[in-house]
Amino acid sequence: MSLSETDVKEIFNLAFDAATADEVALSMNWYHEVNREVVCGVTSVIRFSNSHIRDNTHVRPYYPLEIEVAFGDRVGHCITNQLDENSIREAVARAEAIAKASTPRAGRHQMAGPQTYPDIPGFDQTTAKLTADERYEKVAGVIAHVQEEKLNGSGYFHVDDTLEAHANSAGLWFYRRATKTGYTVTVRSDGTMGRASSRVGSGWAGIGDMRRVADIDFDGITATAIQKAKDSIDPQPFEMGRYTVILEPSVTASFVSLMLGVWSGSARVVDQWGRPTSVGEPVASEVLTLTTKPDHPKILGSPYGPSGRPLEETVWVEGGVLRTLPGKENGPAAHLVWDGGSGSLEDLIGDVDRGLLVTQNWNTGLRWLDPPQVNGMTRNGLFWIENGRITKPLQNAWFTLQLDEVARNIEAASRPYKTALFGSSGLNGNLMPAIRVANFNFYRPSKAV
Amino acid sequence: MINRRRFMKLCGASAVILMPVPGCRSSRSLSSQNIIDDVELKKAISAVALETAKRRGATFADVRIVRNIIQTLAADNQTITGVSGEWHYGASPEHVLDKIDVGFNVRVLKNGAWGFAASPIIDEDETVTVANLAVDLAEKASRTMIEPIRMVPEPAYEDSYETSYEEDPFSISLDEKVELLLRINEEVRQNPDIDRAFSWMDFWDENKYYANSEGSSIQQRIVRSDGSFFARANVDGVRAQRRFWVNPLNIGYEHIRRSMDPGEAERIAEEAVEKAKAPMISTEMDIDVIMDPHNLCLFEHESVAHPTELNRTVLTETNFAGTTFLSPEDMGSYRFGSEAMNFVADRNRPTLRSTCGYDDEGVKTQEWDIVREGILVGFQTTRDFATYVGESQSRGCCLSESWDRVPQGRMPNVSLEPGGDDAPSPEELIANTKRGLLFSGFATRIVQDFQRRNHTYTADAIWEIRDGRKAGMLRGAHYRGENPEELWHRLEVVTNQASWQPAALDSDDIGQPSQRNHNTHGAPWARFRNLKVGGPTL
Repeated sequence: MSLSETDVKEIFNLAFDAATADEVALSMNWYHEVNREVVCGVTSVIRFSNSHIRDNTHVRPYYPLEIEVAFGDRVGHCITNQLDENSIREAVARAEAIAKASTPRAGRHQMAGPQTYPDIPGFDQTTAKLTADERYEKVAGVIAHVQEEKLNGSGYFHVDDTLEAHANSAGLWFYRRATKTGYTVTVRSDGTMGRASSRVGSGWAGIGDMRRVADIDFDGITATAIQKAKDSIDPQPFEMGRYTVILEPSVTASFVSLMLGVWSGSARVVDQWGRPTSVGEPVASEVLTLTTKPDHPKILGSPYGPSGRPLEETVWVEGGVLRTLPGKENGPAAHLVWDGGSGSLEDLIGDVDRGLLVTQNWNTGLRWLDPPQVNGMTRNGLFWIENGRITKPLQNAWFTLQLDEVARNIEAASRPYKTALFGSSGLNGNLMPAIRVANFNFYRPSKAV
Repeated sequence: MINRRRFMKLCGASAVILMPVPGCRSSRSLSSQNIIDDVELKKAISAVALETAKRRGATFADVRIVRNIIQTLAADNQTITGVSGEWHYGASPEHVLDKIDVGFNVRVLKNGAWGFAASPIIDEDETVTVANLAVDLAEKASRTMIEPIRMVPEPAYEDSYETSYEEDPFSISLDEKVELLLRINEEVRQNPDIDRAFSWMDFWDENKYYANSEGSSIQQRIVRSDGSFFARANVDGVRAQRRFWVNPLNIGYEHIRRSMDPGEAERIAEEAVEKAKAPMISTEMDIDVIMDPHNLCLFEHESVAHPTELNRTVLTETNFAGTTFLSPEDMGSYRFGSEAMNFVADRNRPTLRSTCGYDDEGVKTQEWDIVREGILVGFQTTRDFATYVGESQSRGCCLSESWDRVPQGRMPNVSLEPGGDDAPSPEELIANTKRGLLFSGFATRIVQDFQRRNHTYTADAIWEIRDGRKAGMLRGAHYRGENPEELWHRLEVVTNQASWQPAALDSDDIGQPSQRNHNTHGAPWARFRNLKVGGPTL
């Protein structure tokens, strides 16, 4: 049961009627709070660990209404999930009280009027209607697969039936339903805990921000994690230093996310605030081309863009040259596609005489901005490549290098793969290639597995 | 047109909620007030869910009816506006807003497995639906169970708890709060080398009702107040930021009145300028490090509190947050640190951030040792994890952050204890340090692995210490080491009780989907012998 367009309009009208402000903007949408993301709609989650289901959850329809009001340039917000008339009146009053107590915001833009949005279908009825039994069967199959191999599996599978709606007093209206699903899995070679686990093998795989559950290859993803877990048992120490590396697509996504933050000027580290890079400046190797494509068949993202404008295809980086500056004016670089090359991850590995395969990363972020210094660690499988073949697992290691180095040392890219968010870094569900990067610097080994 | 009944169902309203609410202009007279403020009604609604679950064969069930109200206000110079930035552990007041969120959840244990369902609609029909859903989900989960979940016993309680406060922060006018934020920023900006002042405050009103199938019925209201301000200097193009630390507490607005002191603005601005003028650390060294409570806070959180989360220890966070270098058999024998290292966990010390009467599975909150004289002696447990370490009662670390989040083990207050009567004061500690560095206040970004074995931290401000005196600031210094041999084993001395502060992170998260948590990591000052210190690439 989801709110129809008419239902939303009726609810929004309650807020418009209650408001006395000069301008009113209303939204029902996924939103991010500090350390918490809120799904607007219905969400089901299965989380498993030690090869059994720990959490099997379902949250019934949940539609947080965000109210923004403005008296001149004084702005106030309120969010409520109680959508009866009295609650909405109360929330509007709270938003207006904040606006009245606030100071004017210089440079504030007036709200956009009616817009025409492209129709990007992102809703899959089968996914939205997936039953608890069907969700269970997906995960039970994964667990059985892991158990057959006598390994230890942990994972996360979610299915969201979401709603996004926006309206404002200038006449803007947007309504869209979309399904969103994803699956990630970590497989360990056994259940050893604590310090004794440094010889354990561990593998990860996943896919995020999918529209159709039918497009998730549960068996294939699980098999990948299983293989990595088996292959990474008893990881070996290696000499710290600079190597050619292959970064798997989700690792690539993590670096791209940092690059965009630096180029846009939004990156922050302790006592340092970024500055935007000039458009037209070469920022990376010519292998890098980044484009926002909300209507890409493997993205099918929302066409609702910054400030209510339609989200259009935008080329951010072309052949290594910054073409458009991400940020307030042009919006964030979302729904990204990096087409890369035509080969596979395996092809990239096959071209390496001597190097490392980084399958996953952790705690990867900027330590310094001037120049941008990135620091992070490998996780869930680091492998030695010799003559185009993976020959042995390596102990995890910390890496540090200037982000510009990474960008400029990209030598080759595979075809793009759908990524999954891991931890708090990266880009969920974007299309990113595996990449080959020269002179990637490892500086400290770690026994963590 | 949607009819009234359908509207009610769709919109999270109930027959009770839709009744006219007299005097609904007060900030508290939300239409859900009728349910939230009526404990008997909540008890009756919960009974329906519990009965439904029991009838379906659940061996245990519990219900939480929750309303969270959050207010965040921020001022960037003289503008009231949200600010985003480097805030992973911060309040991240990206928007100035009020938020009201209401709903309930039901968790059931059947055939040895959990099921969980939740809804923003609070009425009898929905309660039955949600309870049935939770049972269905538990039944399915149980088919994968290797060993059934076993809960340790806990008495049934009929009780209530409310944070002790003098002034309800939601009763204070917005004008008064805004005026304070702007005044602080104005004071900070009096220093000509300051190019930005930023201040914020936020307030939480968590109203939680808990009932379970064992007879517990617990009403709680937790009130939180938090705030802080920053000065940013710009000296010859070098920018540096200094934070004024207010300890986030469970308390009322009186905390803001007493702590957000515009009189401190001048000092904070001067320290920001001093920091901008300070030299960068130029070399790596092994040197004694003194940490103040606000620097220790983050270090405690990452290097002691996370590793002693029992759920992380037994691999339930493998696919996301990670595991830990500790294992259950370490309890009672593992040397975590020097004899000066004593850590206490609690959820019942007044005003601390995680403090409440009962956790989110009805366990009465308590205090217990985590590390005693350097030996690991305790973990953070819930009713379904306590048996992993052979304990017969939960420590009360279960958290369901809001109505739509599944209960899980979460970190309580985990604090370093001060020294005894003969322990030095902070001034004496500095005075008897010949050569060292003082790290004051935490700052992201930090570096640590997913088993919390190695750690790197910096600080909000760093001073050199020479011959027992603060000798000027240094920029960019970080300390790092392997945990615990190169870190807690090197703890030499902690300061006295009077110097202990209830420092806390503004926020923290864990889980998929993520859940916020609030906790205090109180600390005295402490000196560590010969830590490895270097610049940002250390």
